[in-house]
Amino acid sequence: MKTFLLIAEHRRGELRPISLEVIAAAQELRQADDKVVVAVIGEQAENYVADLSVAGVDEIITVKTATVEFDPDIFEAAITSLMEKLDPEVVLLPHSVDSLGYAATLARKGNYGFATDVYGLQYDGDELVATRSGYDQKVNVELDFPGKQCVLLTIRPSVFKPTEEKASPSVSSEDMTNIESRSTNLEFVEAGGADDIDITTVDFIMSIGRGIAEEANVEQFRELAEMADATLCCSRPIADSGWLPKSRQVGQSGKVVGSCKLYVAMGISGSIQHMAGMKHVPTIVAVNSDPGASIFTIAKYGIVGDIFEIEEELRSHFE
Amino acid sequence: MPMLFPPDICLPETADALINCAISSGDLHSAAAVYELAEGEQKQQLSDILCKERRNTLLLARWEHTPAAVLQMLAEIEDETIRLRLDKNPSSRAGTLNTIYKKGGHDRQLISLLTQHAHSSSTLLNSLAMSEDDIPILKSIAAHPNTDANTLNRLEQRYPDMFDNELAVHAETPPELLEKLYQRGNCFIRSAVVTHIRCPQFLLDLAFNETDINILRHLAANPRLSPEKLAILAQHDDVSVLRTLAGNPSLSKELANQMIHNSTNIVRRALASRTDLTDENLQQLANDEDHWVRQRVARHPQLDEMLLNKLAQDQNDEVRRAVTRNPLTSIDILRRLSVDNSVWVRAGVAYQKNTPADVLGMLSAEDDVDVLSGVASNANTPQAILIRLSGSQQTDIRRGVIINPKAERDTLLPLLEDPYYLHRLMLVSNPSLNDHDRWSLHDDPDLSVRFMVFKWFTQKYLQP
Repeated sequence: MKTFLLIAEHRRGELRPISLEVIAAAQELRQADDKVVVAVIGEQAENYVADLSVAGVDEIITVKTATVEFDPDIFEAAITSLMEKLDPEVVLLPHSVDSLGYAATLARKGNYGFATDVYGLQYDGDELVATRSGYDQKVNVELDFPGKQCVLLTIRPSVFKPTEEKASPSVSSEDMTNIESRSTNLEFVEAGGADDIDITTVDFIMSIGRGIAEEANVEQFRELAEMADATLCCSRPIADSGWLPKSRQVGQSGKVVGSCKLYVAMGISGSIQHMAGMKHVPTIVAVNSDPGASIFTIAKYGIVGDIFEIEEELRSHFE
Repeated sequence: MPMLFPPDICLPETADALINCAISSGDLHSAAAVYELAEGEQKQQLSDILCKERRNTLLLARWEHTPAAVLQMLAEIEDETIRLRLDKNPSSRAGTLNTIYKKGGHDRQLISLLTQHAHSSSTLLNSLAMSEDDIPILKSIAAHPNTDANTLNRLEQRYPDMFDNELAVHAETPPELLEKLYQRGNCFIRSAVVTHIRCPQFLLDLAFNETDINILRHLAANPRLSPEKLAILAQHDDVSVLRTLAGNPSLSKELANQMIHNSTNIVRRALASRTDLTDENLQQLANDEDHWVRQRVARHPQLDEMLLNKLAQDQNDEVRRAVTRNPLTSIDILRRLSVDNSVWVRAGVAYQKNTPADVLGMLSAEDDVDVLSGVASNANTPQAILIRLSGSQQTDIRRGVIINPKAERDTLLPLLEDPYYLHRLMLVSNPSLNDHDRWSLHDDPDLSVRFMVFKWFTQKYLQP
């Protein structure tokens, strides 16, 4: 029997979706007699029990600490304590800005097997094999961890589909309010920006590139995106020209649209840098007047045509 | 990474020295970059480097930046996989494609790719149109922009009805063929025909009596419609027809005045985008309840100071932002908007080419990435501020300095060691840097940067 320890994440009083994805990832590995334990750490950890009570979870441990928000020192100490108690074979963490603050330290101190940004998991006999990417997302790298009693992995968001099936796992609690942080959190500052949309979390994106030719044309695509209930994003030249905020830029210089399911690329040629941010999207629709545009090599549906004509047709449809 | 070049190698002062440098390095991308410059023995040595390993040859055949001369050389290699990659490569020129056809013309996949390639010549397409019977291949020829009118006619004669969709939108389709297509086509074909630049006038008159909204919508956009017909269409009750009509360049001022009262937002939005609006029209639209209408007015190229001033105080952020992007906006208004509550409005001021240096200086004290990127890329930003921004932790802000046309050499020099390879790549062609500066990147760890350096010097030495 193996024990899997999973760490849930929350922010501003809400459970982060990646927490349920980590639970889904554990299901790829567990056997019938294995145990999946989810730990949620925070001053009000018990608030998340209901959301975490899903199929595949055997036990939830609420770890009460002295701080409301994430603190890497406290998380590291709390998880170390849990690992001493549970002696898990596998620890799964969300691959997030939070886990980047403590995962490597944990792995190093405990001499555990360690891999980040993992999107594939399986057992090859008794050997755990984790898949992550290498060479700038160009190759899949399979890693095993010979000789390691425990393996700690951070799980890539938007890969494992969370279950919606509810369950009633056992719930226990730990009091770790005595753990002190080495840092002092003076103030929680909201990251400033021209708009508040996080394009990594949206599922339908309409994106514009150089093909729109001039800034005055941005307006009509903003309008169309609004009609279609899509989020308007862009390639680097558009953001560099200040036509859309940097927060809307997709690609190597911008963001990876991890949750996107439908990506409509209008007038985007498809540079390597841009495609690095969206090539994983299951349904890519590309509209470009150049049939040789690289974007067509990854598009599921391609339209060789004038983006303004297509925009006009789509607009008429929504009208 | 092993060292490709000897340390402290001097800037090559001649084409010969540049080619020798690429040859002695054995570096694939440097060799590809200088290939078109070389002749004789040097060319052979470069070919040896480029073709030494098949995987490298395959890589070059697919890479979109591979110079056309290298692709032409690769087309001579008897290797089907290489030819397929060349056929898909958008940089392959007509000559390369002709070579591929001559050497592997029997291959269906090759021919199919040839008929889709942007650089396939009309001669090649015409020849394929006569010799091929494969419908998908012929369809690609009918859709290809390089296919001429004669070939289109022949395709239609060989397979009537088969390629109507392609022919109806092809720029070279002759009027007589458009008439045929209209007579037998469905509403989509007819819509395409009435939009076609060669559509005969009598077909436009015929289409005017159609009841299909799709056809009428396309017809309403046609600037060749008579004023009478435009006036009748202005009475139509379909919104999409009215919207398209509102954007028709031939719409009279009287009709525009009439349509400005239309109760549908999207019709007024289309009107607000017109560049021939009167002062009264603009005044009225500037007070429109719909913010998209006001946004369009705020960008209007003939807006007076009073209206710009009014819109600069609009409650909607996007309208104020649009004012910052209007080249007519005065410095006074920009100064006021530079302290706007909305970051996106302030970013608009930062990017505006008329914003004065002192306002940019003030904005440079902000911490928002959009505002700072605008300041970094603005030609009016003082050099001292650019130097400070070039040391920013944020990639976007440093890139703003790199694309700033007024960034001086001393400002840019530290960026030659920027950790982001794209920035180093962009610097290679920056006119503020000298040849010694850009040559310092010749042994860059990133292959695309090395390629760009050698490519830049190749272009320099190719100039007469």
